[in-house]
Amino acid sequence: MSLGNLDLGNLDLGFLTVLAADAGGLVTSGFTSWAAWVILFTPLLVAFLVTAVPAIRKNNYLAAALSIGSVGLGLVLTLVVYFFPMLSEGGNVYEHIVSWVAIGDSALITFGTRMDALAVTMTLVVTGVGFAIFVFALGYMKGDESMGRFYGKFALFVFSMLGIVMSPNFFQTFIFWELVGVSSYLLIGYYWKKHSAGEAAKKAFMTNRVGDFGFLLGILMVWAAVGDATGAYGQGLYSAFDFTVIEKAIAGAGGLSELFWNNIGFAAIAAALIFCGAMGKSAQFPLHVWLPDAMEGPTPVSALMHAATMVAAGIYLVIRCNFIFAYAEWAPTLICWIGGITAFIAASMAITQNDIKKVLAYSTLSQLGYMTMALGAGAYTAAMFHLTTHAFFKALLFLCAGSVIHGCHHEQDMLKMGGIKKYMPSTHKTWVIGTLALCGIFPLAGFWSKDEILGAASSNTSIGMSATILWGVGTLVAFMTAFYMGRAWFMTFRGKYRGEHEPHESPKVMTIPLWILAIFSIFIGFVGVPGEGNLIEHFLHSWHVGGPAQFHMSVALISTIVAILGLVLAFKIYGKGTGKDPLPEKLGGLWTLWANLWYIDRFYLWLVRVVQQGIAKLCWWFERWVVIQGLFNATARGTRIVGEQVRQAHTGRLGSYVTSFVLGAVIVMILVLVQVKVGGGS
Amino acid sequence: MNPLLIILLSPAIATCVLFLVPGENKKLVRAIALASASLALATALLLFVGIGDAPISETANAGTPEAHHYKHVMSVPWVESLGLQFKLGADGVSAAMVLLTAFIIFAGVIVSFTIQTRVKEYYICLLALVTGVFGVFTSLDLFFYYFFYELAVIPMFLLIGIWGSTTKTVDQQYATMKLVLVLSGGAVLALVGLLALYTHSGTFDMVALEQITIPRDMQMIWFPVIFIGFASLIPMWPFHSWSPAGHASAPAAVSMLHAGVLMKLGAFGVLRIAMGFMPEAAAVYLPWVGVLCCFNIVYGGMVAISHQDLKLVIGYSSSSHMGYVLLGLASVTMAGFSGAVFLMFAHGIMTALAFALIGWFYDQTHTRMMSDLGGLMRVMPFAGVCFIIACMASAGLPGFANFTSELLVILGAWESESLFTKLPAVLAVWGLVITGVYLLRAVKSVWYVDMPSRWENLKDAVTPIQKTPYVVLIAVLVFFGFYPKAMLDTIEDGIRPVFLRIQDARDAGDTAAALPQPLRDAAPDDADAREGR
Repeated sequence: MSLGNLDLGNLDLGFLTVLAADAGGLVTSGFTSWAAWVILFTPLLVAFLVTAVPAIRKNNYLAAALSIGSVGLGLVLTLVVYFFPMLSEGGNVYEHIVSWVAIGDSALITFGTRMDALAVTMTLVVTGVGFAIFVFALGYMKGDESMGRFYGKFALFVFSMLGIVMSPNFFQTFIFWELVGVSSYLLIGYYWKKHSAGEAAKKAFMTNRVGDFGFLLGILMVWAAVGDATGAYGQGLYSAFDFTVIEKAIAGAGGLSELFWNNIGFAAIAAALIFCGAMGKSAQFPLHVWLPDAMEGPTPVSALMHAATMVAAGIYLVIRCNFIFAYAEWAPTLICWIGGITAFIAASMAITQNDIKKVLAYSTLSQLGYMTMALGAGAYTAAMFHLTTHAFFKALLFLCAGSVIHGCHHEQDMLKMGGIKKYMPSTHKTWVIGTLALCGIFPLAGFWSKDEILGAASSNTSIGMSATILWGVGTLVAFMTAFYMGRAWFMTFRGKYRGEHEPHESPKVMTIPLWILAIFSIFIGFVGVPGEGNLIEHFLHSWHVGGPAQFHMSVALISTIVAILGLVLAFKIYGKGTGKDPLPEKLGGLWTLWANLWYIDRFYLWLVRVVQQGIAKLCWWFERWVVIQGLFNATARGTRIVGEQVRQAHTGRLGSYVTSFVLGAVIVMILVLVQVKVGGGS
Repeated sequence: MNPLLIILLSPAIATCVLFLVPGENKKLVRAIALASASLALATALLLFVGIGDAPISETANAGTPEAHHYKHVMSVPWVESLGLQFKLGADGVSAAMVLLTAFIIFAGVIVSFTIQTRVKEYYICLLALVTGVFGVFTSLDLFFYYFFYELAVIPMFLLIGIWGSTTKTVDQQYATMKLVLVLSGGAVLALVGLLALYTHSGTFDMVALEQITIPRDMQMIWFPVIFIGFASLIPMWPFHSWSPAGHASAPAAVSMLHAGVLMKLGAFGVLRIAMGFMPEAAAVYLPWVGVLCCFNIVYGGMVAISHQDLKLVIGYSSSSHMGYVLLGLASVTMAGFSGAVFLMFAHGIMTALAFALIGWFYDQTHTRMMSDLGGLMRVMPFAGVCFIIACMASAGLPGFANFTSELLVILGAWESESLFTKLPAVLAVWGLVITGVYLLRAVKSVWYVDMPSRWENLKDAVTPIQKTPYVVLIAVLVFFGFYPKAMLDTIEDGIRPVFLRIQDARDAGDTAAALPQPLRDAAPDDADAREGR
C-alpha cells in the first residue's frame, strides 16, 4: 500500500500539537482542562436523578429547577472558563482525554473533551438557546403531570448534544450521535398515547439509523486508512479515531486519497459516507423526511432540538472534520447540490403547509440546506455563522409558535387562527422580529449570515457552472422563504380570529425568553459584519479555510430585494387574513406536487411496507419451507422412514431370518473372494 | 476452598436438598433455590474480580508468547487407566461466562417465583441445568466437559416439555423435541471430534491438548466436525431454527437461560476447543464462517421483522446477534475476539432481561402477539421502561455493554485484511438498522398507543423482590457499557493465546502459499519433521 509522501517520523501520536501550534496553547491540565467534564456531565447527572429518584421526578418544579440549573451552569462555566479567556488570549485548546476501551496495553478508543474555538461557540449556542427554552418550557408544560419526566429527557438531550460538541474523536462523536438520536426518539414520542407520535418517533430514529449506517462505514474507512498509515490502531497510545491524528495523517500524506489505495475514489466515498451521518441528523435530502414529523414532540423540544441544535449537529460535524472534505474529490460538489436541493424542495413544501409548526419545520430544513451548501463550497465559517444566527431566530420562531399554540388552547392549524395580534401583542412583535431575521432583512441576523452563504456559493469557482445555478437556487429560496413566512405571519396574526375559544397572551415566564431571543436575533448578526471587526471570523480563524469572507454588495442587494418582494406578495395574497388560501387553484399541479411533499414520503412508505415487508416475508417463507421443513423436518421424517423400513426386517418369521442370513453370508463370501482376487493381483 | 468448586457445588447440592424437601412448602423450595443462586453469584463476582491477580496454577505453552494461564486449577483422578480426571480451572473468559450464568440464574430464580405448578420439580430441573452450565465453563477435562454439556440438555427437555406452553405460533411438543434433538445431535457430532482428538493424543486433559500440535491433515478433517457440532448451538445459520421455536414455548426463566447461556456454550466450545486446539484449520476455515454469519445477521433480522410473536422476534434477533459473535471470531483480530466474548456476555444479559419482561406480562395476558397488545405503559410503567431499555441496549445504544462489544466486533472485522470479514462488516453495520426496525416496532406496538380495555387490570412489578432481577440485569449492562475495561482486561488472557496461535498459523499458511510449487509440497513434511514423527 502506498503511503504517498507521509512522513511517519513526524507523526506525534501523543498529545497533539497541530491545532495548538496554529492557535495558541494546548492546555491539558488544571481546572480549565476538566471544567468541560463538569459542563458535560452535570446534565447527565440531573437526567439520572430526575428519572431514577421518584421524589424528584414527581416534584415537577424541583425537576425543572435542577435541569434549568444544569444548563445554566454549563452556560456560565463556558463563558467564564473558556469564552472570555479565548477572546482575550487567543484560541487556546483545552483538552482532557482518558483511555476508555483498551485491549492489552494498547488503547483502542479514547474518551475526553476538547474545547477549542469551534466547540466553545457551539457550546454557547446549545447552552444559551437551551437555557432560554428550558425556562420557556416551565410555562408551556405547565399542567402536564409528567413534567419531571419531560425535563429528565430534555437534560439527557443536552448531555448528548454537548458530547458531540466536545468530542475529540470520531468514535466518541458516534456514541453521542446515537445518544442524541435516542433522546430525540424519546422526546418526539413524549405524547406516547398518540399513534402519530409513536410513528414519528420511530421514523426519526430509523431515518437517522440509515444515515448512521453510512456514517459508521465512513468512520471505519478513514480509521483503517489512517491506522494503516500511522500504525496507530492496535499499537499507538492514541487511536486513529482522533480528529487531530487524522488531520495530521492527511496533511502528512498530502490528501486523503493518498491514504487509500491510490486514487481509485475511496477518499470521496469515505467523505460522502461520513456526510451520510450529517445527512441523517441535519435532515438533508433524501433523508429529510423525519424532521417535519418530529413536530409531534412538545414545542420546546422542536425549538431546541429540531430547529436550533440537534439538527445542526450534522453541519457541525462537517466543519469539525473539514480536513476530510477539503480534498475529497467529488464529495464537496455532491454536498453543495444536496444542500441546494434540500433548500429548494423544503421551501416549496413549506408554502403548502397549514400547520404553523410544520411551516417552521420545513423552513428549518430549507435553512439547513443553505448551511450544507456553504459546507460544500468550503465556506465553513459562513456555515457556522448561519448555524449560530439561525439557532437564535428559529428557536424564537418556534417558541412564538409555541406561545400561539398555548394561547389558542393547543390549536396548530393556521386556518383556525387569525387576528391573534390583538390578543398576543408580545408574541406578535417577537414573531415579526424572527420573521424579518429569517428573511434576511437588513440589519437583522439573517441578513449577514445568509449573504455570506450566497456569496460563497456564487464565488465557488471549483464547481464551474453549478456555482451560478446554486446561487440562483439560493436566491429563489430566499424569495420563497419570505413568501411562506409572510403567509404564516398574515394568516396567523392578521384579520379576524376564526377559532372558538378566545386566545390569551402567554405568561411572563414564556414571553421573557421570547424577548431575550428576539434581542439576540436582532444583534447577533453584527458579530459577523464583514470587514475588520468580523468577530466570528476572528474567533474561528483556525477553522477558516480559504480567504476571509467578502461582502458581496450585488448578492446582498438581490437577496434583500427578492425577500422584500416575497413579503409583499404574501401580503397581497394573505394580508387581509380571511383564512382562505387561493394558492392551490393558482398553482394547480405544482401545488399538488408540493403539498404531497414531492411524493417522497409515500415512496419511502412503499419501500417499507412493500419492499421491506416483502423481503421479510420471503425470508420467513424460506425459513419455513426450506430450513424448517426441508432441513429439520425432512431429516426427522427421513429418520422415521428409515426406521419403519428397518422395522420391516423384524418380521418374527423364522423363514425370513434364515433367508436374509443366507443372503448376507453369500454377500460376505463374494466380497472376501473379490478382495482375495484383487489382493492377489497386486 | 476453590471458588470454582463452590460455584459448581452450590446448585448441585441445592438440587439434592430439594429432593428431600416437601413439595408443598413452596416458600422453602424458593428460598433454597434463591440461596444457592445467591451464593453462586457472590462467588462468581469474587472470582471475576480476583481472577486477574489470582496465582497461576497451570500454564499451557509456558514460556512462549502464546502462554495460556489457568487459575484455580484442581484435579481429582477418576479413571486413571483412561486418563480421566475431574479437573476444574478458569481463565478470564471462563470467569466472565461463569459470571454471566450466575447473574442469569439469580434473576431467573426470582422471575420463576410466579411458577405455581410443581414448584419443587421445576427448581430441581433449573438448578441441575445450571450445574451443567457451570460445569462446562469450568471443566478442564474433555470427558467432564462433555458430561456437563449433556447434563445441561436433559433438564431443558423437561423444563420446556412440562412448564412450557403451546401458542398459536409454536407447538410445544414439537419445539421441545426439536430443541433437544438438535442439541444432542450437535453434541454427538462434537463428541465424535473430541474422541478423534483423544485417540490421537491419548489425553482428555484440555491443558495438555492445547500444547499438542495436531497434524494439519487431521485438523482439516476434524475442525469442521467439532465446529459444526458446537456452532449448531450458537446457533449458526442454517442450524438455528430450533432456537426461536424453543424460546417461544419455554417458560420465562428457561428462555433466559437458553438465550443467555446455552447459546454461549456453543460459542465457548468453538473458541476453546475448535479454535484453541486446531489453529491451523481455524485459519483456513474461519473466513468461510465470516460468510455464514452474514446469513445469521441479515437473514435472522429479516425473519424477526416478519414475526408478530414477541418471543419469536427476540428469538430470531438472538440468532442475528450471535452472528456478530461469529463475525468477531472469524475476523482473527484481538478487537474482534474481545468483542465477540464481550458480546456473548452482553447479549446474554440483554436477552435474559427481554425474556424476563416478556414473561412478566405473558403470565398475565397469555398472549405475546404484538397485534393483541398495546399501550401497556399505562398499567405497567416500570416493566415498560425496563423493556425499552432492553430494546435500546439490543439496538446498540451507547452506554450499554452491547454497543461497545458490537462495535469492537465491527472494528475487528474491518481491521482484518481479509475481504471475507470486511464485506460482512458492512452487512453487520446494516444489521444495526435492521435491529432498529423490529425492536422499535415491538416497543411501539406493545407499550405505546392505545391500550385494549381488557388489559386494564394487569399488574406492574412493584415490590422490591419483583423489581430486583430487572434492576440487577440493567445495572450490569450499564456498568460494563460505561466501563468496558473491567471486562476487556479480564478476558484478554483467555483470548490472546488463541488469537496468536491462529494468527501464526495463518501467517505460516500465507508463506506456504507464496512459496513456489516444489517448496510448498515440501513444507508440510517439514512441519511433520518438526513434530518428530
